[in-house]
Amino acid sequence: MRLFLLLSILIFWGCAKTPKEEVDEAIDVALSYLSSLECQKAIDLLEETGRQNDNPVYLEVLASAYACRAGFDAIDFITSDVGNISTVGSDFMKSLAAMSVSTETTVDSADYQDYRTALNILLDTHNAAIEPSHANRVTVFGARKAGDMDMQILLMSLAQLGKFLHFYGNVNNLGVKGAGTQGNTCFLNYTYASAQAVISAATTGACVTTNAGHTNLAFGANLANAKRRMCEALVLVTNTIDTLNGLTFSTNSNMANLNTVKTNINTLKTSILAGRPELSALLNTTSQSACVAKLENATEFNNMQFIFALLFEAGLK
Amino acid sequence: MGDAFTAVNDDDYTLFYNPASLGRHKHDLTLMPINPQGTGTNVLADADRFENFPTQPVPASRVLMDYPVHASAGISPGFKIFNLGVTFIANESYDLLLRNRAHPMLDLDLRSDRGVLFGVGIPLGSGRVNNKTTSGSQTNLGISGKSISRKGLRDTLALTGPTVVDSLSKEDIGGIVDSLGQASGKAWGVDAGLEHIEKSGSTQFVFALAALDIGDTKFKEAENPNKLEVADNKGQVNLGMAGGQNFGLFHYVLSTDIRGLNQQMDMGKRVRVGAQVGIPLLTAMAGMNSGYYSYGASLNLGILKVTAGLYDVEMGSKYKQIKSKQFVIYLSLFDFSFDA
Repeated sequence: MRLFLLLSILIFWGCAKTPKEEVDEAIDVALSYLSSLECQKAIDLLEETGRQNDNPVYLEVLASAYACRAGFDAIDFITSDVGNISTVGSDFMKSLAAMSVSTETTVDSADYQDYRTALNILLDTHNAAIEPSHANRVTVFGARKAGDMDMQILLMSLAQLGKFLHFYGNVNNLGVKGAGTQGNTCFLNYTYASAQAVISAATTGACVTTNAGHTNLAFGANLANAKRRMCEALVLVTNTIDTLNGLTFSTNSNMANLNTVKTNINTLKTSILAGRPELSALLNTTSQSACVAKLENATEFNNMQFIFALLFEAGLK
Repeated sequence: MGDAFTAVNDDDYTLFYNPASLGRHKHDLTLMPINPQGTGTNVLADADRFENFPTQPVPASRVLMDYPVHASAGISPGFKIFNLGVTFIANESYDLLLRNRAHPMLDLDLRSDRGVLFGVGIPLGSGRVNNKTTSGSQTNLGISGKSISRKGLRDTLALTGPTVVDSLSKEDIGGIVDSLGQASGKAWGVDAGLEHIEKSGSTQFVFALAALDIGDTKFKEAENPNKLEVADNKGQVNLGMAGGQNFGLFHYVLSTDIRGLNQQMDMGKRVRVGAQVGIPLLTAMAGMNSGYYSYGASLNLGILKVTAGLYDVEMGSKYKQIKSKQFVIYLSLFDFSFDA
């Protein structure tokens, strides 16, 4: 009898799972859910454990669960869209807007919000003093996991940038700005003289007047939302540049063209900053919250209009 | 036999299931010098999946999504002398599983093990059950230790991430494994067991309890810049029961295990059930392991014993989460026993 009690104690002493085991099991089961596109089950399971901000595999799986809910399939994206991203600078944004994943018809749609959530899970440094970066992810998670997260951030950033350009650029199925059904031919109604000058220089495609912007990016009563959405676009670009600079792509892979994209986009950023160094504060911002805070300053808000004219209006024609 | 061996356990693999079974070693000396074993994914069961297999990694990932890939090969020579047993292990094992369509992630468990297990089974009390016993009972207590060096990798990596992409550019499997990175670790582990045997004529029952990798067998990895790890062996307490009859020209055994009594898991995942029926030279086996079926046969020609089987095994955390279809081939050459 004593032996039986001793054995019972021995057996049941180890019954409870440790917190690490619970998280590992949640990750394992969530991965199976995501293979069969049961996205909401994966989200519910992983959020139930509480956010594991120091566990890179957890963050990747949770982010991918939200991306899954938005309909994102990395294999489809790489095989169908990434290889078609143009390496010609003037067509780069048009090719993004025309991707199969870029179709967007509603402002701040549920899918768009899920992409944002997914990216924020991977980018958030949980320290307002530290903006997201490849270097910071290497410090926190190590080079191997940082590389994996960078690729995930890059693919989702490209997909969401395509959505932004498609919707706010009012493109048609070929990615031509202003040729869609929403009526606008520009992203913004420009009030800053330097930005207006870029529009007037006739280098911005269908955007030839300074007050033909998208209604959901209008200033005035909608200003707070407009600032948020402008920053969403900017940090998509800056994080794309940052992750591209941390990655190298095999020349015989579906993503070989991204090596040229990396060169082109860095050249563009360098040339903009060479002519307009005052734009460096925004062009080096990778944090959404830091960007929105900067736009409370009138000068930086004007600089953001200038960036939109130089980068998005001139980039998407 | 559905891996329900905790109470059956009287062959080359005694030290892997329950050291107490050393207490019923029937001979003075038994040698198991050569016993190679191989297991692998039963690709023939899913032949359609691999027709026109793509050569590029990204399209190939669609085919392999949610498909466990397994291969292992090893030997475990050893000997039993009276109630002591020693088994040497040399084993290579590869497990890969690609999941998650939104961000394909590769679960890797690569192991290269070298080590030794050594144990003793101590009969408690005066009861003994051996070849000459027509009826009686025996209770054995067993304890064993193990020293294992493990080289390998336990990690989850993004398929599109630089580590995996770089590794897939290598020309051979060795190059791919080196590129993925490996850690080296050493561990000591302890197992213990208890079993009670009741024999009456040609009928025998065994009740067994085994605690394997007590306190977990944790590998201490050598310093490496990427903090790579190898898989640890998780502690497990298993209950087993087996009963059977041996009529000389015919024998049968029925067995069941309840695994992981010390762990929280789905009940279905704990249960193993097995059966074997045999005539001289030939034994057929079948079983159920965590809800999955297995079957096989063994041919015993004295100096050569061949066992082959097909089985499904659970690879996930939950009951019937991920089924891996596998095969096993096991050879045992020149086993012999000697009584002084």
